[in-house]
Amino acid sequence: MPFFRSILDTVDHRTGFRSIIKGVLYEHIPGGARWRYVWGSTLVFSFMTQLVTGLFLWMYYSPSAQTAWESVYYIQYQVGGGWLLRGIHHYTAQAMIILLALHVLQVVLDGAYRAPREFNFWVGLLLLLIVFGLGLTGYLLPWDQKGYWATKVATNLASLTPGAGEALRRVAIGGSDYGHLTLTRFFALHAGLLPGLFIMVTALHVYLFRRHGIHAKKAEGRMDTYFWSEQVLKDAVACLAVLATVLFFSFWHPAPLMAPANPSEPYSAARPEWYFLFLYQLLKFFPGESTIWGAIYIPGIVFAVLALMPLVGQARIGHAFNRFVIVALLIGSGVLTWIALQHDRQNEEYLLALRAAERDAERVHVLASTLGIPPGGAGPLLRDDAYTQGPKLFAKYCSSCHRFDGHDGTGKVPREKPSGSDLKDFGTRRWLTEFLRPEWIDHEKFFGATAFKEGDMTDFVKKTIAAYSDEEKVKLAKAVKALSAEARLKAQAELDRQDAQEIEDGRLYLTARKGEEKGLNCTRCHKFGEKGKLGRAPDLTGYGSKEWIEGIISDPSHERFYNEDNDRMPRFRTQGILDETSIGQLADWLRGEWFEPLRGNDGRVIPGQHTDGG
Amino acid sequence: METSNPSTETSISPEQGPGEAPRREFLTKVMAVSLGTAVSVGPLVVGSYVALDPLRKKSVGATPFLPVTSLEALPPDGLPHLFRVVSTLTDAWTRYPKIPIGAIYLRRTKENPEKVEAIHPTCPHLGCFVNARGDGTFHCPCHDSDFQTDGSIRNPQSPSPRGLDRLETRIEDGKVLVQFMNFEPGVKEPKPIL
Repeated sequence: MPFFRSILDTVDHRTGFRSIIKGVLYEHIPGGARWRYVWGSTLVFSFMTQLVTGLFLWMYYSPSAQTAWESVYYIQYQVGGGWLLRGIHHYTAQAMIILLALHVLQVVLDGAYRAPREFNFWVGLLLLLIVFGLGLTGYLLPWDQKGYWATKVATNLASLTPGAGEALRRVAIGGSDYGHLTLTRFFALHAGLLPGLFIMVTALHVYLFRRHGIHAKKAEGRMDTYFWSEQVLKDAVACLAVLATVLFFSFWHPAPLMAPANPSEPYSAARPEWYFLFLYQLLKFFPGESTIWGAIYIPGIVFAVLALMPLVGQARIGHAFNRFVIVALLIGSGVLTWIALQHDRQNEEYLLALRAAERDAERVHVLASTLGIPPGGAGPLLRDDAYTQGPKLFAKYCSSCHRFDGHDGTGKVPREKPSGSDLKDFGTRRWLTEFLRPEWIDHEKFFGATAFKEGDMTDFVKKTIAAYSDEEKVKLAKAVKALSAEARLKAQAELDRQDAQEIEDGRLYLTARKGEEKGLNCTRCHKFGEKGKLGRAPDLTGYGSKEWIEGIISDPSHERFYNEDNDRMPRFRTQGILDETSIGQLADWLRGEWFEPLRGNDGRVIPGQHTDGG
Repeated sequence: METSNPSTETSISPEQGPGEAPRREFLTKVMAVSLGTAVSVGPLVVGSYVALDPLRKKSVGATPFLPVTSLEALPPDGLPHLFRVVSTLTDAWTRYPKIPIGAIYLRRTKENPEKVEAIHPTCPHLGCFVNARGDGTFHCPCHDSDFQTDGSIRNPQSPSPRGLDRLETRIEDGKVLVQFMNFEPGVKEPKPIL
């Protein structure tokens, strides 16, 4: 030990570290250690945590429009422990906001902002702004739909600033639109400039704090102590509580990663992070041109009131006023946040958008983990995916007439009544069986709302089929199986194989005349294989197959389909409304055919493996 | 701020008995140090674990034979010719369907035109790209390692610990296939990096 001590002595002689440590640890605390003094330390701890986790995240993060989401995806799902590291960073950021609010609240309530500590209060306000800046810039970095659209709103608000608004926005996003340069800029701010500023300003904050000492609360009659060791213990316990809370949330709800940013894809679920929700809600109270009040003037005034507190607080009544203001502000923000949350909770459209966003997020995860991310980034994974695009295309182009299981494909039920058939399970045995029931054919799920309600087919089903004998009903069931087999649906493949003989019989009944072989004589109007002619009714050859569906979407007025009897359906391809890819995606989706990964027994995706569907 | 070293008495509250106070204070110190340490290293431990992820990544397993060129394109002149090796590559999150992953020297002779020799162009010393001289021998531009046409060390003064690494080849339907892989630099025996 003496040897050890002599080494320390030598080092101390050269560096003076003992007096530094002594200076740090033996800070005088009048009235002794207290729990109410821990907030500052928890904030320093939180920031250190952000610094450490941020640096490690930096080892994986790559800021560009084609790699930001992709590298965060890699951190979240492919790097061991990456999700936890990101979770800690994500939730500590939010913890800092809460701790800041508590810190400011305590300082104002205790009057710790008054002379001679005015400057330190102002320095603290500056730190508050820096933390907001860190939160805002960090939100964009994953380059997912959520961050992208939320940041777009935030930077557009900056352009409302009187005088240099537009220039400010351009500088903030690094050009006229969002892309590589927005990310590199935000990253430089988030990981370089703002943390650097934070460290410097915090050093000043601590220096000023030590210069005036702690603002002791009710120290009379209590023994004075030093920072070491009781207050250190209290601070450590508080920091541990912060860390435990952060860890709890990281495990309970891992940090979210939505679908990659896509400027062409609406994102109605865009909201700022919860701690900015009060500002978001405030904006809603200012219609039209008055937005600037909610965005700039009122927050500006509030901040000015905060900054003036040390001056106002010199008078006894001023201090009372300040205490009232800070409590009112916190309660006000809380109420605004609550209103925003409550409003969203009851907003059907928002909830649908949120579900759709989560569906996309899950889907892109499945695709990226099985197919890998192409060199152009993860964007095309969802753009080329029938499961993702099908419902969106259906909602946009088909749902003004058709329905999908009663809704528009995305789960939303349009206000107008349908005027076309419901295409959920189109081509399946169930769909065809129901379609051919006399009591169903003119229901709004099938021909009920179309021009064919009074047509020959309806007539045939309501009169001829209604009068079928039991023997003919058996034939009809087989014919349905045969017709449904034409679709070659993946979901029915096994059934089609099992019923090969019945399908064979059914094919015969479809074409045979009523008289000679006791068939159903469908080919009197329809074409099926070699029999029948085109032009009077849709071709039954390959009915419901991918090629058939693509054909009817492309041009329903073609003689293969409804010819001149076509009701109101646009000729999507011929009129240039939809391209080949979109029509293919619609057809695949309607047929329930899309890329499916192989899953293990636990239902989890096995990376790199998939079936050859879609 | 001037502070003086506190005497232990200052932090003892009046109601504590003698002996109890130092013990309690000792406990406080121990707990302060251990909790403080635990809290500070928590994020550091998680971060370090994440940073060390490359050590835990599984190897890709067996390396496939990759088509490099047609036999026609390789003149049977006994001299090494450089070819690009193209394959699929997963670089962290990106999957490249077709991208150059390296290069290879191929050589065949008039006497034995159906046999192709493949030599890795990376110097086993410290990984520089070796050049083929006109006479078919190799030279490393970084530290002057000198190799024979078959890859073995030519000049015994060469700093390279072993000759150039040789790779398995196969000829299928007139195409030259190479089992391409990279090797650890700086060691005596070739050791594939998987």
